[in-house]
Amino acid sequence: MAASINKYVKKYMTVVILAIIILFFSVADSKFFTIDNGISILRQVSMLGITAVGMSCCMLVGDINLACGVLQGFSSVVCCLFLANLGVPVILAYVLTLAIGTMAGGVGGAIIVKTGMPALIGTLGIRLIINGGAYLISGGLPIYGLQDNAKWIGQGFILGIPVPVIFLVVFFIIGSVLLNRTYIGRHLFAIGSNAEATRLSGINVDRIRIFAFAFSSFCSSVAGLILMARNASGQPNGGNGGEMNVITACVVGGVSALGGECNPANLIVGVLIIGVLTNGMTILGVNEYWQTVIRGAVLILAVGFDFYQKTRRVRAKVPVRKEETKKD
Amino acid sequence: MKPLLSIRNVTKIYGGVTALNSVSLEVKAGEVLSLVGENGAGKSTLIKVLSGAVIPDEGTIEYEGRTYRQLTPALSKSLGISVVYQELTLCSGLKVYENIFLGAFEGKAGFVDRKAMIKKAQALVDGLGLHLDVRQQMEGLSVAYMQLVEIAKAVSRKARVLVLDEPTAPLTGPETRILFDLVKRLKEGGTAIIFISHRMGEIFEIGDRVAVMRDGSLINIHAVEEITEEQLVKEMLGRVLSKTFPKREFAIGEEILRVEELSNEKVDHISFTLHRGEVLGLGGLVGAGRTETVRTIFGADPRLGGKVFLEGKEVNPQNPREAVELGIAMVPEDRKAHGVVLGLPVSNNICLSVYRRISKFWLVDRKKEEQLVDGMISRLRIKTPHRKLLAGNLSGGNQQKVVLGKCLASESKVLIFDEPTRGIDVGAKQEFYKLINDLAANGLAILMISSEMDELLGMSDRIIVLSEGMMTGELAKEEFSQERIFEYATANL
Repeated sequence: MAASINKYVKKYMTVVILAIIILFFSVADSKFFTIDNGISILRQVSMLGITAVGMSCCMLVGDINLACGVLQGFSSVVCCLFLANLGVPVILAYVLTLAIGTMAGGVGGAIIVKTGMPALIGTLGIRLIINGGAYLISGGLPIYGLQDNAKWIGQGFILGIPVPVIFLVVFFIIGSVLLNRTYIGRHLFAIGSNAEATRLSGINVDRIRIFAFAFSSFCSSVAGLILMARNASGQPNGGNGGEMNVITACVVGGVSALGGECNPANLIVGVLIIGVLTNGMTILGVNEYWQTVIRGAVLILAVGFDFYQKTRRVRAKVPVRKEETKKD
Repeated sequence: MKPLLSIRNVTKIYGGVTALNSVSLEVKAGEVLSLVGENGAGKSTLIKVLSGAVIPDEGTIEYEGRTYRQLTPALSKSLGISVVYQELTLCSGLKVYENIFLGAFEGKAGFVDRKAMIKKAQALVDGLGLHLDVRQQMEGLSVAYMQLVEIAKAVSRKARVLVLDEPTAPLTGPETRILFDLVKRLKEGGTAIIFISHRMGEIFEIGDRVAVMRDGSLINIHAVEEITEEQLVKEMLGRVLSKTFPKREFAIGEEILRVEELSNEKVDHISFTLHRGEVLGLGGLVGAGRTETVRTIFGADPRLGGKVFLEGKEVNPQNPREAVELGIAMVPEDRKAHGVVLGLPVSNNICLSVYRRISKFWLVDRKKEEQLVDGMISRLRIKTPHRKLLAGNLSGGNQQKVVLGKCLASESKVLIFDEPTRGIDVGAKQEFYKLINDLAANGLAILMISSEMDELLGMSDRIIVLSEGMMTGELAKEEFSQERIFEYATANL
């Protein structure tokens, strides 16, 4: 009985926390709990959420993609270059940008996987290269001169819902289908749980890991297009540091920092917790430095809880398990 | 003379498997007690009881007049019991003297006193008759010297009982001499030494007494003068093959797998054939290169030489994926690390190798998945409440069935079992043997590594024996005997 309650607490913990945070801000300020502010929060977390979908695949196999933030700025600059400076049609510019972003992630991933270096270090290097590349392309300054129809992806509405929010929903569906319904999803989970056993089962572990890097970069590039459209410019430093929020959202959303665990439904709650916290604190007028401190505390809490569950608790459980294995 | 250390009636059971069965043993100061027995006789478990790594279920350990129910690693060390394992526990990035003093650095106020440590370490090493500069980097040393450093470290901690677990296995002749000189010196100094080896000659040379273990029991203890090598081998192997193995009544078919001159670092030009419906046993001691041989065929280890033929055609699997695609599957030795994915449900484990095949446009056909999994659960009689149960919650025998299910799902022609029944209780073992027979009857070709002599003899149609990476013998069914296998297995030692 106690065990099943525990299981439910763990399963719906994030939802409960989100509800408590929403309740707190609703009581604290009447401007918070309105439809307008709700949509505003969703729009604010759209880029974070889309990037987090990709990142969760990387973290699922036990890797990480630190370049997912700066890739947004890079993509916005590249797309602006196509649109404003080279006069490429909008759709083509988008497709080219996404292809370049995905390629960058795939090549970087291939280098990491084939050399066997830790993803943390490898993507740190890639992050620097991409960030520097964005500055080089733009000459260090934002690129302006975006035509109006290119801004739709960031500023438009469909049936009163902002386009970025629709993209967010679409990407969560894509992530959900990818992880739960496709063979790639099954392989991602298997690699995250036990890469060597997966390899010995005849699966190309390297290729799946590279796919995760490429997919993560693709998601970041999509977020980059939205970033560009919202700012109506290409910002070389856009998204820089955003990877920290993405990792926080993933971990709060139940993506294990050790790999092997990820649930898209939970992930969206993690993304919303970060979004609601930021929005609510801003409405309350909490100064930005304190907001950063609080986000850090949330990250520590989430990771600490996750690891405590896995290591400290498991140790206490070991004798129980032995009993279970005895009855065949 | 009173014994320094006595083990009394120690029993250890792992999930239904008796690793130690009421073992009693005494060691006196200044003697070398050799411990012999086949793989799985219980030697390692006994050592682990002494080092505090294993807590015995029953029995006591007496040391210098005090009785202990169990030892912890820290207690064992503080009592002066030191174990030198085959896998050395040294830090290769440090210098020799640093390794000797690791965990007991000398110095004041947090600063290490290098000069004092070097001086002391050098004196110790010189005193042991080793020609070694303690300021050397550990990495540059040969395996033999690393072992000697490990022993020196034990001596520096005032070890009074020194356990050497197959210390001579990686050593050359002259290196063994250096080790033996050191052992003799320590023995004269009053250290009790427990020496494990598969090499009969060494036991008679260095040992004072020899204890024989078999299937977790202590069979006998002799003074070396009172026994011959032949008698010793007889006692090691002299089990009555009690377990009954299910009979197989069908003909062996055409050749499926042929391996020619397979070679890499651990495998030395091994050739054999495997037929449809045949169970080919692969015997030998631990470290003989059996696992490496099958991993090389499977593409999990690099193949540096030799050819592999499948159904008469030469194939070249470079990695496990290509091997699985060709129709070779493996149930690995280490179930939890390499076989089953504990964090995934039963269904995902069983379908792991075939998800691509049962997918359309990337989407897994969940109906096919369910059918496959349910079919496998009933065919292999996997005891699980439902297919979504995490494999980690199953018993060892059922986990092994899940791994087997995964191999069968990929519709392989050749099935490699590496220690198929390791860590499985007796009932589940019998069930597994029946399954293996059924699979062979259905036309699979089976290659089975086993360190359990009765399993090897009972299940195989033919046995090949490896020793030190080389194939030293092949036995047809009517030639099977424990003595022959042991003779071949130790041929290259």
